[in-house]
Amino acid sequence: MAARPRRKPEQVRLERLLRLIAALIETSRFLSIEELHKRVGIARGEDSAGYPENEAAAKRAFHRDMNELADAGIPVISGPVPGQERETWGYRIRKQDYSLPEMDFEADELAALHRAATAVRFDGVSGSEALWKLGGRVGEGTDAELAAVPVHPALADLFQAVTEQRVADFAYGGQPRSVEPWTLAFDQGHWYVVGHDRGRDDKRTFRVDRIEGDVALGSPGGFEQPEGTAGWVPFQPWKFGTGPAVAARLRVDPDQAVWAARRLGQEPAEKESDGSAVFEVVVRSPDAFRSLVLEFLEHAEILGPPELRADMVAWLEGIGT
Amino acid sequence: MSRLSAGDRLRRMLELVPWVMSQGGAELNEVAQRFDYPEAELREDLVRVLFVVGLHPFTPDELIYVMGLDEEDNGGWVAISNADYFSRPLRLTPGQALGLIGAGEALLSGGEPEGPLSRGLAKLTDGLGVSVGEDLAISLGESADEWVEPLLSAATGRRQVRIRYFSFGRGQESDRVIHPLRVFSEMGNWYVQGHCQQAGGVRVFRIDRIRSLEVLAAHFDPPAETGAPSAFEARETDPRVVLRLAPGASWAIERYPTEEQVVLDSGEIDVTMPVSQISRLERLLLQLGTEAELQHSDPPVAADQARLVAQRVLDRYK
Repeated sequence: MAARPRRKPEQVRLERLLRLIAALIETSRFLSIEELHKRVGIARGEDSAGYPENEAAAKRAFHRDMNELADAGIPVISGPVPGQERETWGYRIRKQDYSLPEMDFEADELAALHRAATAVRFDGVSGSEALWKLGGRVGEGTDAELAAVPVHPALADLFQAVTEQRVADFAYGGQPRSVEPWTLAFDQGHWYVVGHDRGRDDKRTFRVDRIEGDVALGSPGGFEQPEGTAGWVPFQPWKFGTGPAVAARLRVDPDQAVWAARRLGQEPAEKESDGSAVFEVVVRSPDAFRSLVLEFLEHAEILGPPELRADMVAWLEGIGT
Repeated sequence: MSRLSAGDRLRRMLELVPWVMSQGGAELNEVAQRFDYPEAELREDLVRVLFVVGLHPFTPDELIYVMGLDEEDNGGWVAISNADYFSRPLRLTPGQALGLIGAGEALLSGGEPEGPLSRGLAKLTDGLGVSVGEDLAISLGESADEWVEPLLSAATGRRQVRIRYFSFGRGQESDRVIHPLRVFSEMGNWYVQGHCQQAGGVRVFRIDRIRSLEVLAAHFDPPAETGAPSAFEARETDPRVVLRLAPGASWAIERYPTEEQVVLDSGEIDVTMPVSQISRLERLLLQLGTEAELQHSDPPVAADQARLVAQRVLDRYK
């Protein structure tokens, strides 16, 4: 066999990392650093993978490797090594933590997911990376980016909290909150987390971008979610408030009627002879309703009840005086 | 292509080995393409690295078998075995799961019919134990927009379209021929960015204000570069206004682009913002009411713009 050039340093390192992962998976107990050094091997010469013979250098190299594994998302756990006189800390990877569940994708499904991942960009988290784990990139993807969804640093943690029923602790509005998160939702350009606020003992909705600092997660299965609480109600703030429900009547000019129906999420109750549309809207927050009506400038008018109409007139008369 | 680091190689190796094992072997060039691993590097890493990976004491029966390739660069097909510990791909990180499920769900909410995407998404969410719509609900905008799909295919096929468009700013409809470049969603609404022949430049149109649409036979040449689309793209020539907001009223401008915010000692905030349409400013002034005061504008709009528009609305109530 002809002599081959030496391997590149990153290839030698790759070999050591792969051996380390294999050793960490193929064990039923925690392994000490010394045991891992032995199982991975000692480097003899530049082209040889393994840990340095010098103990201090070997420890440093080991910790660099553990950081590399953490960066790659490999779930190494630590715990006491059994049968030791002096307590010794060791490491292992549990197969059930490591492995992706079985999911048998057809090529067209992978291609469709690939297209979706390239069409909708989540800033900072990559759906495309996930595809490699599912069987590689199939198809071309798309260069016509459909949407960019803003991503908050806490979002991945909150998603994990929702899917694994972990309690999430964070600061919001200057107050510490402890929340059992039920749903993560993106609506009207913002992320929300809905859940049970333990301190207030009630359902609350939080805007993710207003969470202050980091989110701390509890253990998996940290709470039971009541039946029928999941899901997201589209954001129509005039429907939510502490006030009593009022049936308001809103007239909208003909050329804005279609748009108004979409904004309100309902069809008009009646059409007038000139084509104007009249909507009957349930209002619990008069302020939010006023803001909604003002989006239409002079193309919409509150017909009733009289107090909502008077409220609008007073608001407008107060402007610029 | 820049040189792959040990970490890059590690991630890709842990992804491709399970796939090759599950296939019972694969063409080297297909593996390279699927996993974005330069073929020459992949060959070397399989033959000179993976082949010598195994378990202590590294006797031949403890090493990974890499078959079909040799050190002399022969062979275009590879099989891998005796590597049970690498037979499953690594689980997804929460961020990767969120990114992929979120993208799939967002696209389905935009009106993509039943098909491979919904099948793939269902397998993914079942496998990961995620309930779509319950754990994660994503809406990029009203899905009722029937024009999203035709505009997207016109953008992909470089076809001109004629639209009848309702301009909220002018309060009237007009016919336009546009070259659709991108379809996108922002702040809960769908938009199309395209070159407008009537306006003689690139404009952004809200899709729910399109009354009718016709895909024309004529094609168009794409411009060199249009930049990232934004519904709130400010142009150099847009007027700039300075609004003074009462303390605590800054919520009102969250959905608008601002260029400068100065908090005064009084707690009030002076906000500088571009105004691409006067109607957008008017709406903001009405909604803020006495919480905002127009300080300055360049070029000037009427100093009592707020009062003027309030009067226009009030006329309806007289």
